[in-house]
Amino acid sequence: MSKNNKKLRIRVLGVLTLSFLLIGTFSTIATATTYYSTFMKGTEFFQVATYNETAWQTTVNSNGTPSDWFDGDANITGAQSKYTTLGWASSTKDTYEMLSVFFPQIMLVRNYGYNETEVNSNYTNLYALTSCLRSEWYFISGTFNESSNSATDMPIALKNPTDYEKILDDYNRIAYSIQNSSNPSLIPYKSFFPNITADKFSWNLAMSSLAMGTSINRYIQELIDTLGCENVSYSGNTLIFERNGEANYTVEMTYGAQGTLVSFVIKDPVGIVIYQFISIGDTNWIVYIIAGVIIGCFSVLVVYIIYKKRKFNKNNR
Amino acid sequence: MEKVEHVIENIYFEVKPIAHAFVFELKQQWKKFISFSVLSVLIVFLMSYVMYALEPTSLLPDTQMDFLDSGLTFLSMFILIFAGCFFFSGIICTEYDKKTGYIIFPKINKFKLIMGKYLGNLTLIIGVVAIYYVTLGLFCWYYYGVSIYLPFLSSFAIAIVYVLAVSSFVTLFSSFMKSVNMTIISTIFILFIGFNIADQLVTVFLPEFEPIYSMQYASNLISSILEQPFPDPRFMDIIMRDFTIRTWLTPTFEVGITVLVIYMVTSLLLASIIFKRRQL
Repeated sequence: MSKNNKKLRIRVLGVLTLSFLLIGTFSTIATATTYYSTFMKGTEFFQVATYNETAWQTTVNSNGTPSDWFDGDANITGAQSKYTTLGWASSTKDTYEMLSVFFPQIMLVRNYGYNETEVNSNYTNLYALTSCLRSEWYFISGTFNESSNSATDMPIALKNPTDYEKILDDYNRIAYSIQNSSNPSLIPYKSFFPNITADKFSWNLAMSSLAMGTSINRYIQELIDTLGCENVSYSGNTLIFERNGEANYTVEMTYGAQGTLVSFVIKDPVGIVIYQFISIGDTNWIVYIIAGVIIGCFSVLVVYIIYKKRKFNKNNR
Repeated sequence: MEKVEHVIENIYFEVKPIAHAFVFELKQQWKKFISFSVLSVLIVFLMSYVMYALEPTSLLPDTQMDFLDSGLTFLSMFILIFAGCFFFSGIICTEYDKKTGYIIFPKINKFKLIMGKYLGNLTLIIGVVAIYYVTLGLFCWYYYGVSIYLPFLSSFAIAIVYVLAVSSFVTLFSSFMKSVNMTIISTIFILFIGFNIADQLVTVFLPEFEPIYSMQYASNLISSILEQPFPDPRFMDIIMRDFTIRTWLTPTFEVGITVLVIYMVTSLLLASIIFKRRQL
């Protein structure tokens, strides 16, 4: 009787534990309305795969090179750059903090009615985000230096991509009020606050600090659709910008599993690649080697101990 | 030709007992080796993976040099001293503790026996250091994607010289101490506390004097060799009101190696003299 009771208790406990686990899992899925970031500590390498200088000058910019867009030897085919992800943190920021990141010129007018308190009292949005800190080694055609060129590269992934539209709206409202302000002190600063279109904002984002949450294709889709971009489209994990320089060209930026840029391609209207740099690999796979070595050594040790014990028992019989 | 064969044969007979003692010691101490190897891997794993990979807000050091530097601090501070004390503490004193040292006509020359034991333990401890370096190097590769570079190998070489110095120092204590436990306690006390107290006193009373007498100070070279460029000046002054506290960071490469070699040679010489006298 007592044995049956014990079995029954174990079964009830098992069912309860399983149901708690299932409820926990499904409730988490049900409440996960925002995206989550998938940064990983490690290093990612990039290489300039293609650079057609003539095509660049006739299509993108006759007076410039890719080095105007990316630091270092970005205009040399074969040059490499790398990023080391040092860490990341999730936080919630107010409107002024977000504007300081994306539109740092806001700090110029802090003494004329647009300081942190005043902005935050009029624009009350809060933004949940994950900011990542990376060390950056600029493109170099030789070997990398020991020290990074910049230890402050900070991609930001907003947990909700529709928040970008709120930030742009808030900025444009502030820009409008500055442009129409009768305060004479603001006159020198008016040129710093133009109205910014969704296309320009998304381009600036992509060229500076944009990171994506998972799943990336849904994130991109929601970001572009909400912003209402005209000349920006998407395909899977790729953002496609239709731009105009010396002639029309397209820029395709692809985002990888970590939500950061892994490929940057410029094509002419016919589809011929003018410039391209791509990720040539990261170091995350090395953890499997480490785990393999540790597990391998441990297994050898266990096998050896068992072998010794058996031999000892055999000899003692 | 016959003469050469004779010389080779002589060498073989001279080396054979050392080799036998060496192999015997390897078999005898393999459990210690496994324990220290597991401990080394565990420490590197905790410091490099658990601390950084599992905690997003714990920032990785900016460069691989800083990462290796922080990883090697634990090696010179704890692993090498503890391993040195545990492996070498019984090398001579156990011969007297178990009365084998008093055998008047031993089958094997006692110096060759001690040499074999010393080399056996040295091999094991170098193995532990190598495992520590390989594990740390793998994690460095994982985070920074850079293959092992020259200063890291130099650091490994210095760590081996430091092991030689520590092992000789412990062997010296083992030559006149009565038991293994006393040897372990006294050497750990001197290496951990004795040198540090002496360094503190020198810092207070003779701040201009570089503590080159200290084996602990010389061990700073293991991590400072990674710094590019090498620290210059090699000290740090902290000024508090009218007081200046000078902390010496590292010896130069030449001085550090010389100090460690002097410790090694002197300790081994003294140990052999004491061992010889103890047999009389």
